[in-house]
Amino acid sequence: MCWGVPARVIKIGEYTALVDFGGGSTREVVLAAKDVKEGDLVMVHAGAIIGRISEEELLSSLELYKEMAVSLADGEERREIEEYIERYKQLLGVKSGGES
Amino acid sequence: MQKLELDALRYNREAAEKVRRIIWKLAGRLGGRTVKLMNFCGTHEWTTVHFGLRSLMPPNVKLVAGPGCPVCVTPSHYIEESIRLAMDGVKVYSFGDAFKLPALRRVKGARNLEEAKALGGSVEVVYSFLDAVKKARADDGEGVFLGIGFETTTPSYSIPLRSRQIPDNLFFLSVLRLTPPAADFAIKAALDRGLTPVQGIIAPGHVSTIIGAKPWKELAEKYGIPAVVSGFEPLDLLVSIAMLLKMIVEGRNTVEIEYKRLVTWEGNIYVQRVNSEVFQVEDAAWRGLGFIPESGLELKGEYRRYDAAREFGIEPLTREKWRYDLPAACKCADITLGLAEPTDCPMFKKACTPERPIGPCMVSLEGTCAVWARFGGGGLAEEIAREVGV
Ligand code: SF4
Repeated sequence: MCWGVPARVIKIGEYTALVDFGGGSTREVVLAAKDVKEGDLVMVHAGAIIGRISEEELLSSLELYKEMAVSLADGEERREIEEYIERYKQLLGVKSGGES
Repeated sequence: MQKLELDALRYNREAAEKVRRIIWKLAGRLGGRTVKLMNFCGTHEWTTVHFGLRSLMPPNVKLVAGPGCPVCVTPSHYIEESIRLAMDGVKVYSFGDAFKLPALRRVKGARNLEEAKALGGSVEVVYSFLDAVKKARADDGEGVFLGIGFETTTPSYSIPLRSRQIPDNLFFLSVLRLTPPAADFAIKAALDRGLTPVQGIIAPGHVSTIIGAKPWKELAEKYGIPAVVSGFEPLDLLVSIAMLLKMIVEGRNTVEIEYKRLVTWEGNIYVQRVNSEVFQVEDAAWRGLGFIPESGLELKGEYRRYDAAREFGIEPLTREKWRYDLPAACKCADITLGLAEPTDCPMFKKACTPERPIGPCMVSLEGTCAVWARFGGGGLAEEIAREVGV
């Protein structure tokens, strides 16, 4: 019951919303977050949307990993991790602009 | 996007390996100290064990599971009362996790809701409270929802309760428990017993989505240790561990958020407001542990009319009435407090298995014994470790 499962919001009702867990599996869940719009990626927990997943923040956590690498790793290591992060950011940019 | 997030964070072995190296470097700066970092969420423990993150840690960094499973800490009294109701023909709606949860005593021949059902009791496993509401509407008889959970589960109850869409034949048995008071209890238990103190808090990401990162500040200040609110992918946890170690090395006892894509400092204010309208905070019993001050939620005001305890005369569990409620030799209490590991229990994977659980930590997927029994050792991390020759 404690698993958080990401889902895409299809339709918003009065106090519930219809979400898609992917692969056509949809369900009516309790809408427990105020800033959610149709099309948003959200976290569903025990049958309730507890929050919107911020795609920008996902990008900035990758930024944070990079920062850590810069402050803690050295030389070659730092360049490598920067490269990986850049690769994922590119991937994010491409995908999040297109279909999910 | 979901898949992408998983790809980026879960299977990003190279980045995980880089963070691992950073962790080792930071651990080297601890001046020979061994540090104990505690998580407070069954899903964190799941990630830790499933991906073998412990095997990635330097010898002086210990990852310990604290109270992180609401099913594990539900007092036996409420399971026994639920079985009684089911056997008396009141339909008991439950999450699948609690279906096999063993009570301390048999009630009318049944030790858990599964057995009650087999013996003709009325039990139905549902996906959510909302599903129980729908089913109760289509049913003539009386029903009770066994309301287990931590803060994360509260909105799935409080919002429907406040919507006034609950049919007259459905009642709610609140066994809701709060995480920060239990975290405090666990950190203090190690100190009281003179064991290695907890030196860093891996705060639960989804609980904190609701309550915010703010409540962890009080704990961090009280015990002079840092806290990081972490996400649930292996890379999230590794980065959180690195952040904690960095804070320990620098002597900063503050709270930082790693799981920024979902957690804010203030949390979900809307849910906090609805919760405070529907529930009130009370001292509450935790299975095997006893009473923890201000650690439970009960229905309040007009919402008491949904209270199953009131409707069906379930006796409240008071400090005076509470008795140690774990089976003999079961170590769930110490495991919940991070003072023992499942392998310290002689019944682990022998008499007690996920198929035939004896103690409560062997039932839910978030229970430490169940996680260890299902996924003990191995995982992605060991593969990486082999590849890099650690
Ligand atoms: S293995 Fe079973 S009996 Fe032992 S501590 Fe875990 S749940 Fe309790």
